[in-house]
Amino acid sequence: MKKIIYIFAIILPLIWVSCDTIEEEERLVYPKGQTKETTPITKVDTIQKVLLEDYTGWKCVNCPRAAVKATEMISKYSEQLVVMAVHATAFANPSTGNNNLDFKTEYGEKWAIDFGCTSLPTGIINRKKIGGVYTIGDANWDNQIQNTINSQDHIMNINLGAEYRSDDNQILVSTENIFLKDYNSSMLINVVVLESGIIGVQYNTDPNYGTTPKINDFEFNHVLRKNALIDYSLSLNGVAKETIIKKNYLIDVDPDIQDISKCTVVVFVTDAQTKEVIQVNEIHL
Amino acid sequence: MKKFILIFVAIFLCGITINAQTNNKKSTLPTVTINTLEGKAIKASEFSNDGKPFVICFWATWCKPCLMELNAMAEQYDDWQKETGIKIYAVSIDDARTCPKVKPLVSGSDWGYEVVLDQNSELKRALGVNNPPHTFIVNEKGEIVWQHVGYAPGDEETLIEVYKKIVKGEEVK
Amino acid sequence: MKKLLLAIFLITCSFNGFSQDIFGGKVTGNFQMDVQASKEDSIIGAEKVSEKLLMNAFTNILYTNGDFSAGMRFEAYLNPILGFDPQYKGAGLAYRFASYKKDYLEITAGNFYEQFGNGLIFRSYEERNLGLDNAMDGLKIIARPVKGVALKGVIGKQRYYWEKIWESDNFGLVRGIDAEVSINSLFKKFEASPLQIIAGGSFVSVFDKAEDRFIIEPSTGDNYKLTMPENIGSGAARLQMSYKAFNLNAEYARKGQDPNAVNGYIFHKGEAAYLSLGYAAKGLGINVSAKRIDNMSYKSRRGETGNMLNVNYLPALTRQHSYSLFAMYPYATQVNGEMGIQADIIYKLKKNTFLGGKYGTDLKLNYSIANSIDKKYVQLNPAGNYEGTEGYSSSFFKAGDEIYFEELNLELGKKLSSDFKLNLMYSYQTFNPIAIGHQGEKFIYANVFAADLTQKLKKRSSLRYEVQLLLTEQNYGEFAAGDWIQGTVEYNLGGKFFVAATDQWNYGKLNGEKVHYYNFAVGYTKGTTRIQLSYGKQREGIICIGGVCRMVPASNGLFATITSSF
Repeated sequence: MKKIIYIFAIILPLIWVSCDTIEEEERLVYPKGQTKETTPITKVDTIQKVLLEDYTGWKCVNCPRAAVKATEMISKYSEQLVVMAVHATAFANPSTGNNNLDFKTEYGEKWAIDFGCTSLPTGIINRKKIGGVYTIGDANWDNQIQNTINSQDHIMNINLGAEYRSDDNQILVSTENIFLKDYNSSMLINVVVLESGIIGVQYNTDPNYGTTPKINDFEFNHVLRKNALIDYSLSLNGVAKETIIKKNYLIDVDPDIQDISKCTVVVFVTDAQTKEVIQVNEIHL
Repeated sequence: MKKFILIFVAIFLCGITINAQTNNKKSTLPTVTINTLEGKAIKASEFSNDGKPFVICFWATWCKPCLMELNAMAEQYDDWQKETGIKIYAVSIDDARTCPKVKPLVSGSDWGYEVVLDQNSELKRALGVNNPPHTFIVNEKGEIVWQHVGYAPGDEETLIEVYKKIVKGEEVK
Repeated sequence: MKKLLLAIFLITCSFNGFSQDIFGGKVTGNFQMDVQASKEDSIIGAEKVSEKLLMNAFTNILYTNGDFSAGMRFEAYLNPILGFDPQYKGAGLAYRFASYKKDYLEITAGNFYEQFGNGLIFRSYEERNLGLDNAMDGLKIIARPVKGVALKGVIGKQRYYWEKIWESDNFGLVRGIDAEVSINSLFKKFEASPLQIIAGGSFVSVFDKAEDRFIIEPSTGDNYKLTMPENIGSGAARLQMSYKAFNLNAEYARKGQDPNAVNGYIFHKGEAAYLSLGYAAKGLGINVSAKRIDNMSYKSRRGETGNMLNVNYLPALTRQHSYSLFAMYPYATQVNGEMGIQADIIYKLKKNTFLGGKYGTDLKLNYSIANSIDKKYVQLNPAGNYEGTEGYSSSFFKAGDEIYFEELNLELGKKLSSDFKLNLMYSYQTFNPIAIGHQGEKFIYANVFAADLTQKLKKRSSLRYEVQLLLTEQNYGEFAAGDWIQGTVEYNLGGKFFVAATDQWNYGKLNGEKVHYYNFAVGYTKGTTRIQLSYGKQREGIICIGGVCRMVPASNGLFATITSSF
């Protein structure tokens, strides 16, 4: 009988403790990365651009083919295309086999799940669904990029300025979001850092794209890095034509970044409901 | 398909009720703990009437037919008690909203029943009561031998007749 | 559909099995089925029912064998009758449990209902007529180590329609503990004392995983993230005392920070106080209750706003009416803040006195008022509202300046002769429709009357005549405008059979000649089985039981109910 009382005596304080109290200053947190500081705008955007997300991983044997295709696309579409290599899924897990080179990101992993990128290589163009799915095989990239450029409604431009601050190891990004048309739903803005020219190990199965079964000196380009600012609100209820929204962000540089001079900052705006990319722009550091 | 299932359910459940009424195995009161008007714990299985059968009435302060039934029985309760030694447990299923009204109603109405509180409908559920009023007669062995739902004027006469039969040890339906 | 058939099959088998006394246990249970067929009626606002036939049904099967009991409830909503949440659509085993009870220990696994004290911080219950069921699914332990002491512990998640609550983090975990001591039972020397004291205390904590929630400053579009408490705790203390004819019941509860959809995501702590004083003598009963509710919506999911997932129970301190026109303007507790008082006096004029007459007279007086609480809003957030802030401060004894509901009821019950019984009732009601969410409507002031005469006939049959009248100059919604009158005649035969006719007439409505809600009903009772059939119109309204209400849309057609206990 005493046992029962003991058990209750133990449970009682446990439940009493299970009550969280949030101090007043902690209730509304001004999220990391937003800032009032600015840097001059140096990259002015005037055309509709398209974002190609290349979902890839070093253990993915067909991915060198897609990487070559992505490079081809950049030379073909030039300023009209921004490529972002998202290293995700188990194919991208670092190990001693690639000297623990870690390109994985929390948000890249989430996107891979959200957009159904389970078998690699695969791509997403402006996060638009085609035939019910987001994913597009690299063989169809050319077609779809062309289609998207032709059909996309040019709603806004994103002008950019970026500055690397070595003292704090931070990148200050200024954005000017200029609306050419009315837009009636909620929009999110994403600020990411991509690094190019990283040399590492990549599995490969096709001799046309390098040595098999692996390429020891593969060059990874447009690699999505950590510490990006994802899904920050740009506008809650949409905006009217000719509106300009100026936003400034501070990003902590991912300590894994090897050469800051080979990095670019990519900013893209999405529709909060449909997830579709409205506009994207890129600036070199 | 839906209609078919509907009919199926209906027939099957009617079957259960008929089946249950002809079932000879009699239920006893469960060991559910409820409260007296003073708030003390009491087990339903401890209800008793000095070895004589007793009556359990489920009611609530907001239930008009229940009050009609309890008032009608109260008028004759003194006579019934002298004649047969009957005892009535009036189980209130009033919850926290109307529970404070139970005590003034009970004393104001001057019924003379044993009133107990089943605030969270524990006993109501355990005895399969759908809606009040619902009346049970429990024999001297603690077995539920008769029950009735609803109240219409005159039902109290039926109750006391059945009770007298049970006291005499006669079978009741 | 296969699932349904399987469930029916299982119940049939289990029932047939048990009824043959396998293991010597006993089977009891009950059953109810409602069937509705309603057709379109633009005059009363009844909408077309595309299924033609709607049905709700449930059956409880309870198996008891000594200290062990187990039970289940099968429910079917094919499809839910009007006014029930469409999310109930479907059928299945909604409730099942196994329980072991000894004198000092009671353990229940599976679904259970329980209440701590008056329910200010924890009550798990069902209200079938409202389609409300917040059964816990988990474990309950009640221990009675010594006479007069009861300890309760509960843990589990709450039912949410047919959702698979255990497969999702969207449903919070509820944990609670309660202790109650009866001083008089615990200490022998106080056992016979006229002063009876029962004291209790409880703690409850809900774990609800934090979700992302942002507040956006409109000018800059900057985000602010709301930090959510994941463990929402509450505690309550209570005291119940009685001394001779007097009794007292008091409970005080506090709730920790709980920003949620009901309170507009503010961090203000919750508080509830309840006090009830009574005097009871032979032929006279008096009760006065008061309560104060401040931000006490307590749910196991912070985004939930409906009637489901309530952890606590905050009933309205108003009379629960049984005459239908008196219940035209039902009041429900304003969980975000309310102060209320209710008083009841019940007096029996003695038999064979001048006023009491030959049979005595029952008099009942009831008064209740519910008012807003005083709220001083402190600071705005960057978005210009109160989300994510303290919200307001409130002084305990100060009432706000808004009346939600006020009502005075007088009732007289009198036996006129051995065959005639008369009940008269009057009510004056003041109702603030804004409190129920009807923005922009005027205060309603109504005088309501009822006369109800029961006549005993030969052979245990009886007749009942009832007239009700509601006088008001205000409108309540689209379909309840101005004055109403209602008449009912009911004939009962031997307690087995009844037939009734009712007409509710909204004659005060513009062009109200047509707005008759007639209804014919027949019913048959045999033992514990009751079948009732009614045909006619049902007005749009709100049914409130306890602290919660359900909208019932207007209907025109057939309604059948079968209930049975076995």
